[in-house]
Amino acid sequence: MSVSLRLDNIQVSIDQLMLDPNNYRLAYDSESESQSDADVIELQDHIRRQLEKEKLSELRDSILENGFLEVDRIVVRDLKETSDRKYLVVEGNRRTAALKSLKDDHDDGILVLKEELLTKLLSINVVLINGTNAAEVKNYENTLMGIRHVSGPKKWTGMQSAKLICSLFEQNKTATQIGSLLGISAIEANRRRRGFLAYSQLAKHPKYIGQVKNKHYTLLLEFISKSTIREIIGWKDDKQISSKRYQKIIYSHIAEDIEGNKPQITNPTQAREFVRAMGIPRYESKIAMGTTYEELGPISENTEDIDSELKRINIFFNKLDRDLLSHSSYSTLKKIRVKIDNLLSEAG
Amino acid sequence: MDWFYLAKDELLAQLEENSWLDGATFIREYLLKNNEDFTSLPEEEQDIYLIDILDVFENYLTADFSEFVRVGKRYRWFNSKHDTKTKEAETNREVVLDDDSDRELLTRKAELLNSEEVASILSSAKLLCNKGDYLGGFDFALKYYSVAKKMQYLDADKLNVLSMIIDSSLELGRVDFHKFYCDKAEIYIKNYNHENAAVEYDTAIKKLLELETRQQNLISDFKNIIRELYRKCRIQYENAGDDDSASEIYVKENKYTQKSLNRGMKKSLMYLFWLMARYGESPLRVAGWAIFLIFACSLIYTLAGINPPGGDDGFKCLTTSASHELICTVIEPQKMLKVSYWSHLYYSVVTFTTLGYGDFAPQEGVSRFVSAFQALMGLILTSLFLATFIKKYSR
Repeated sequence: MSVSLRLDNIQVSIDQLMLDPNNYRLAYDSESESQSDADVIELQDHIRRQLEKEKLSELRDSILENGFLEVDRIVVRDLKETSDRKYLVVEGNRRTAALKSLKDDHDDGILVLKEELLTKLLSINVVLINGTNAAEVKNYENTLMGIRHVSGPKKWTGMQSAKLICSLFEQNKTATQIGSLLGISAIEANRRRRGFLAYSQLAKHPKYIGQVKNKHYTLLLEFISKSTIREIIGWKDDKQISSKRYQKIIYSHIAEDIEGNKPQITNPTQAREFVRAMGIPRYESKIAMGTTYEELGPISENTEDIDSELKRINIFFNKLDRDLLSHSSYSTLKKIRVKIDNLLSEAG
Repeated sequence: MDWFYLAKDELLAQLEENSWLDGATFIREYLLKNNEDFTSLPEEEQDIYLIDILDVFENYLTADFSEFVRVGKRYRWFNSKHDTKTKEAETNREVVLDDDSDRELLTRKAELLNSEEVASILSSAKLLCNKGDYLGGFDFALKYYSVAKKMQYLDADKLNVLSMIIDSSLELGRVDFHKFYCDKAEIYIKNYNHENAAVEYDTAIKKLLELETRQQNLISDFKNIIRELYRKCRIQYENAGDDDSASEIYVKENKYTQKSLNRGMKKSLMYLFWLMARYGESPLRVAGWAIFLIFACSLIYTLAGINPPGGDDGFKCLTTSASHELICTVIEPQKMLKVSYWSHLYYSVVTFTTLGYGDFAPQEGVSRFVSAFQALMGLILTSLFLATFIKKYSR
C-alpha cells in the first residue's frame, strides 16, 4: 500500500453519508455505466430503492433489537464535488441504507426509534480514507472490498455457534433472549445448547479422548432433538446423557474409540434413521439389548410396511428387463438370493 | 404475472391489520410461502428474481389498486383507508392551492420565508385539514410549527398548530403523535398551566394505549415511553394541586408496570399491594381490609371457640372456722359458660390491635393459629394504614 494513504477515524451524521452508485452490490449486470461523483446525490433515492431489495429488513430488525453495533466500522471517502461536507460510503452501503431507512421511517412517523439510536445516528464513527490522488483511493477501495466480500469472513460451523450459545446461557440469559439476539427461535437455541453439552460430555469420555471431531456435534444433535428420545436416553441438562447404557450405545455407534473400533453411523441421515428406530418400541427394546444399527436392517413403523416393501420388490422383479443387468447387478442378486434362502430355511 | 392477483389480496388482508408493510419483505415472504416455482430456485436466483419483480408488482398496485393501497417511498405500502377523505379533497385542492409554488415553500429554510409566505403556509394547513387532506395538511402544519419554533412565535400560535398536527397524525395513523402532545404540554408548563399540561400527557397515554399491539410494536421502548408519560402527567397534576387526579395517575402507572412485568415474585407482590392499598394510595381500602379481617376472624373464633376468663382449671380455697386450715377444691372449668358473639368480636379486636388483655384466650387448634395470623396481619395493616393515610393527606 502506498505511503500517501491515511486512514482517519471521524464522526459523521447519517445525513452526511452518501450511498455509492457504483457499489458492486448493485452490479446486477456487467454493463452498468460507472457514475461520476457529481451525480451521487441525485442518485440517492434510486440507490436506496435498490438496496431496499437486499434483505434490508433483516438488518433493520437487528439494529432495532440490538442497537447499531459498530463492530466493523463503515468506511468512507471524501465526496469532492459537494458544497457541504458529504462522504461517499465505500464499505457498509447496506448498513448505511438500513440506518437511513430507519431514520426516514422515524421522521415519517411510521416507526419510533429509541433516543439512544437517534443520538447514534448523529455521530456515527466511520473510517475516512485520505489519499493524495484519486487513483490510490480507488485502488485501496477495491482491495478492501475484495477482502471483505470475495474471501470474506468464514461462516462458523454449527459447533462453533453452539459454543457461543452455550456461553450465553452461562451468562444467565434465557432461551428467548438468546433467540432474539441471534435471530433464531428459543427452541433452536435450546437444541443447540444441548447439542454442545452432549458434545462436551462425549469429548471428556475416557474411551473417546482425542477421537471427537466437529461432525460428532451434528450427529449428537439428532439424538437430543426430540423430547421422547431425550427421555429414553435419560437426558438432563446438568448431567447430559445420564443413562450409562445409552451412553455406551450412542457413543459406540457414532465415534471411533481409542481401540480403533469403527463407528457404524457416520452421517446425520443415518443418525436420524437410528433415532427414528429408538422411537419405535419394537426396535427400542432391541437397541437396548445391544442390537447395532446395521443389524436392525430397514426400519419401518409397523409390519405392514415390510409387506408392502416386499410387494414393491416383487413388482420390481416382474418388470425387470434382463438386458439391463450388468455384471455387478448379478453379483448383488446372488447376495440377495443367499439372504432369501437363509430366511426361508430359518422359517422352515 | 398470474400470482399478482392473489398476492394483492393477501397484501390487502395484511394491510387490514398493519397500517403499513415493507413491500420487499412482503413479496419475498409471500413467494416463499405460496409459490413453488420460486422456492425451488437457488437462493441467489431468488434474490435476482425479486429485484426485477418488485417494481413490476408495485406498478401493478399503483395502476389498478390505488384506492386500496398507497405506495410510499422505498416500497412502503400503506393502507389507504386513512386517505379516503383525501380522495375527495384531491380534486378541490388544485383550485385552492397553487400546488407547486406552495409545495416549494415547504422546502425553504425558515430564515428565507417572509411573513406573508409563513401566513400562507398556515392557511394552506388549515384549508387542507378542513378539507380532510391530512397528508398535505400535516406537512404544512409541521412546517409552520418548525418555523414558529425557530422564530419564537407566540405560544398560542404554536399550540394551535400543534393541535392541527396531532389531529392529522391521528387521522393518518402515525405512531409518533405522542411527541406532539409532549411539545404541547411543555408549552403549557412554561406558562405555569400545569392542569392543561397534565391533560395533554393524559390524552397522549390514552391514545397510545388505544393503539393495536402491532402498532405499539412499531414504537421502540413503548413501555418506557408510557411510564415516562405517566410520571410526567402525575407531576403536572401534583404541581396543579389536583391531588386526586395525581393519585389516580399514580395508581394507573403502577398498574401498567405490574401488567408489563413477567410473572414472578415482584409481580405478585405488586398485585398484593394493589389489592390491599391500591399501591399505597387508598387508606380507606386498608381500613376496609382491617374491618373485614376483624369480622371474618370473629366468625372463625365463634366456630372454633375461645376460652372465657377463668375458663382453665383452678382452685377454690376456703378457711375452715374450726381449725383455720386452708381447704382447696379443684373447680371444673366453666365449660358451660356461654361466650356471646360480641365477646368473640371483642376478642378479635383485642387480637388485631395486639392489645392482648388475656381475659379471653384462644382454644388449642384453629383458634390459636388464626389468632397468631390475625395479630401479624394487624401489625401490617395498622402500619400500612398510617403510611397510606399520611402519604395521601400530607401532600
